[in-house]
Amino acid sequence: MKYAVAASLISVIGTSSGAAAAYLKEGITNMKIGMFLQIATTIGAILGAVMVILVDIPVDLIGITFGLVLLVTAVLTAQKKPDHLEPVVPGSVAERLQLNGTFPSNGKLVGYGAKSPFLGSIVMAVAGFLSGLLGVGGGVFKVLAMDNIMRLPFKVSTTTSNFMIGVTALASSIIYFAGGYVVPEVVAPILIGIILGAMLGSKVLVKINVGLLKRIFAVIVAIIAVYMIYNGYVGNFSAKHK
Amino acid sequence: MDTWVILAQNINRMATNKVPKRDLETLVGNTLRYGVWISFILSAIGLIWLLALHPESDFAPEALPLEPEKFSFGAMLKGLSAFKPSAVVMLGSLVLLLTPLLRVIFALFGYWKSGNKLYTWITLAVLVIIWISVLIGVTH
Repeated sequence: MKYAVAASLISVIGTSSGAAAAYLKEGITNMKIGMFLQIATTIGAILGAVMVILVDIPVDLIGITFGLVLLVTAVLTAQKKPDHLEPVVPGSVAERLQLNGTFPSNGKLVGYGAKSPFLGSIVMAVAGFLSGLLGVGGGVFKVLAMDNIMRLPFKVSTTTSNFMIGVTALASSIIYFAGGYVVPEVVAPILIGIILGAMLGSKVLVKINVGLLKRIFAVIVAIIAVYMIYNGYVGNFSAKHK
Repeated sequence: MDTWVILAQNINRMATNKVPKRDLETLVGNTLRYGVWISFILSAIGLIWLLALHPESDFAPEALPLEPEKFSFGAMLKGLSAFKPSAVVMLGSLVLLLTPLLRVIFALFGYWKSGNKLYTWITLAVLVIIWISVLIGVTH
């Protein structure tokens, strides 16, 4: 399980870095919001990795947590995402933290404000913790914090969360990497598969219905979630380790 | 899922886009892209090499030790100089780890040069946390 988490974190960095390169050019990513919230996500990520490597919590518990996180992911994917445009409040905490920003829309710059940066940070720390614990990007939870709590425009939250995923995964994967859990025979095929799969995916995506794809994705994730929770509950994960 | 698509588009773009631009954001973008590419190429070479050396080997996940040997930079360099494919894959993973770190360092320079004290400190804080992670990883 630890090897799987480590390999997964490495591949998360790969996809995040690749995607971030494209978003940066469009000037939508809010680097400051990302950097500010990264303090919380990296601390959370380290705690997550420490729970797995040093505290050595039961693998079945990790499996059950993974299943629950996947269930939330399935529900959030199936839902329509909210889009916000908060006014900039002069003298607010967000303004002092320079979190308000602009993004291009129909040829002109649209300004937006950010709400509750500290509550957002707390949810981000949880997202980081899950990332370090399970080896996932946690993008769904990051977008949740930025959409529902900080009420940022959807475009900004998506791209900014992607920027943060790489750095968050870095903070926890260092602990796995140094501990020797990154094994060449495991990581190499996964990395190659992910990059090649992504190339194929982009070719297919332009030809298919995204709404349908999202629904199929949600159903598959929900099935895996039930499978993980069941296996964790009956203790199958720990049985494999003996 | 959007991530996969963008990554793939990037890989396609990398192959076709040859126009050089010289602003910081493009530099950052290129660093990320090259990092992913270099890591991919190193992993591919390492894996093919591994399979060529041991075509009969059957990899069993159960064979992985419960307490693995800690990663050592010296051991990786030794492996590289001895032409060990596993060391090549490790280098690929290390390059990938370094790409987001480079990005944070670039951001630090950007904020420092533009005189944004608040964000120079915030970015430094993120680097310190990453450094703590390195310390935890190395000492335990």
